[in-house]
Amino acid sequence: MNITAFTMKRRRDSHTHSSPMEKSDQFSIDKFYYQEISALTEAGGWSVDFKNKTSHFDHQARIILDVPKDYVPTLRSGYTFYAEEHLDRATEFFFGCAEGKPFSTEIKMQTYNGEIFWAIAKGKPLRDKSGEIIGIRGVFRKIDEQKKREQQLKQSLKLIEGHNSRLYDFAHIISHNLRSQVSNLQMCSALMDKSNLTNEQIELVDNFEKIGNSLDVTLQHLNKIVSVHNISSTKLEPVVIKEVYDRVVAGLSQDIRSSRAIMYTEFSEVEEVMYIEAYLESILQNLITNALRYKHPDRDPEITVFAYEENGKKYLMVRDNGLGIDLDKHGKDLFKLYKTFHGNKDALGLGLFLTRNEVQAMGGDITVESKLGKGSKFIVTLQ
Amino acid sequence: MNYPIKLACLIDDDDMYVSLLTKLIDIRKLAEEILVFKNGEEALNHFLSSFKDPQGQPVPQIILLDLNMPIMDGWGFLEELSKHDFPALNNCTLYIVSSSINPVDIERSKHFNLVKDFIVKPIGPNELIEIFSEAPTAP
Repeated sequence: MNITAFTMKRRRDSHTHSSPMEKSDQFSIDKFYYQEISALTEAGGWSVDFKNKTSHFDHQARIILDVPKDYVPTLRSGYTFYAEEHLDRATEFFFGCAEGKPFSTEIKMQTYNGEIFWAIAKGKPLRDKSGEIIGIRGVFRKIDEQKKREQQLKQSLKLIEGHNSRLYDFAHIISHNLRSQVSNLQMCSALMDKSNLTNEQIELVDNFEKIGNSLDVTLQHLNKIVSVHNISSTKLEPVVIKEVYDRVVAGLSQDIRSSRAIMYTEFSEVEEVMYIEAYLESILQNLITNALRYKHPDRDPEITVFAYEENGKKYLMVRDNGLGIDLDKHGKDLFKLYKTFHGNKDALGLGLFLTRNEVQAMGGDITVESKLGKGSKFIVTLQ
Repeated sequence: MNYPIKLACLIDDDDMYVSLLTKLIDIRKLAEEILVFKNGEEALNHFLSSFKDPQGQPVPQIILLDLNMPIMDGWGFLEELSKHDFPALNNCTLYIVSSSINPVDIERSKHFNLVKDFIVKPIGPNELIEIFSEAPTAP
């Protein structure tokens, strides 16, 4: 016999063999899962029949609402299971549904004993064969735990924001007051009449001046770092990456020309990003400056700046063919403050620290791949 | 002796800074007399009474105003002074001299017509000579 005839026969057989026994087996399987799922998710079901003026709570609903064993729900008593402050809302949804509008909402409910809890409630109109609405059926799920955690999170966030704000003010005030004293120190040493001093004494006075200047510079760094926070509260706006890049490169044109650097760019994949423009400028400025500064003595620098998207995230990459970094040795110190590695006199050890601060303030991160003698690749996760 | 300024005014609560600056002004012979106030309120009271009385005290040709002071700070002083229109102030050049490098402060200073410029401390001898010689000379 051929295959099609065989399968058709099978199908016909299964149809005639579909006994009430099998149907009820399927039903009890479904019922099992339904019961398990409703218990697992703490979700109950209810229905209201307009014609017969009856209401029904399923088993889980009765448990969640903590109703006594013999409790019979009615249309009117249904409302008592909503928290008073949300009663109007519940009524609105209910009547809307009776007119054909299904609902899905977060709402405050209460148990038979008046215990309030947050729930997600959904309702759909029940129609008869002719399409007329004869009742409503709905489900609801307790989300109290979730809601509580949400609120705790909000509170923690508020606390942390307040704390950060105070820290920023504190750092700002201290830095300001310190600068006042440093400026006095500098003024004092400037006033010193060195004409009647011995060489040794002159040297000491000069040291005072140098110390004052060092202090001043350190405080300026502190201010720079602290001000990263200040801008973070600025709103995000769509930033065109190429525009920022052009600006940065224009500012570095002298260095680019003198080092004979070739710049490659690719911004067609990701043209725009929701960011703080000042940050993107600062990040690009620092990474490109580094790429120029740490070029390899044997070859002209080739710097690639490339924006791309991967797995739904936007990235910015700056790659160079410069000196590279020994990541085994310096990897963990790379983004730390005041750590330099190449003995370059222009290097303050501030750039990457600030860059990472800025990147992280925007909710992203920065990673590096590098090979000593070959070059480096910095990848910034923009969002 | 021709001093560029007959009367200078320092409004600052930092005693050390005031004594250093006074020394600097004296050494370089930049002003004949120096008027010092420790906070905005003291300065304001003096100016309000001297401006209202035409025969009263002389008006300084230059004012160096600090921002962070107790009781009434630099902003408070500027705001109160701005409420009045004193023709005598036209012969006076006011500078904010502060250790603040907060761009917000610098921006805010631009809103006051009274303020000629915002100078960040420390103010060195050369800068001092420059602003003292630029300020209107004594009548």
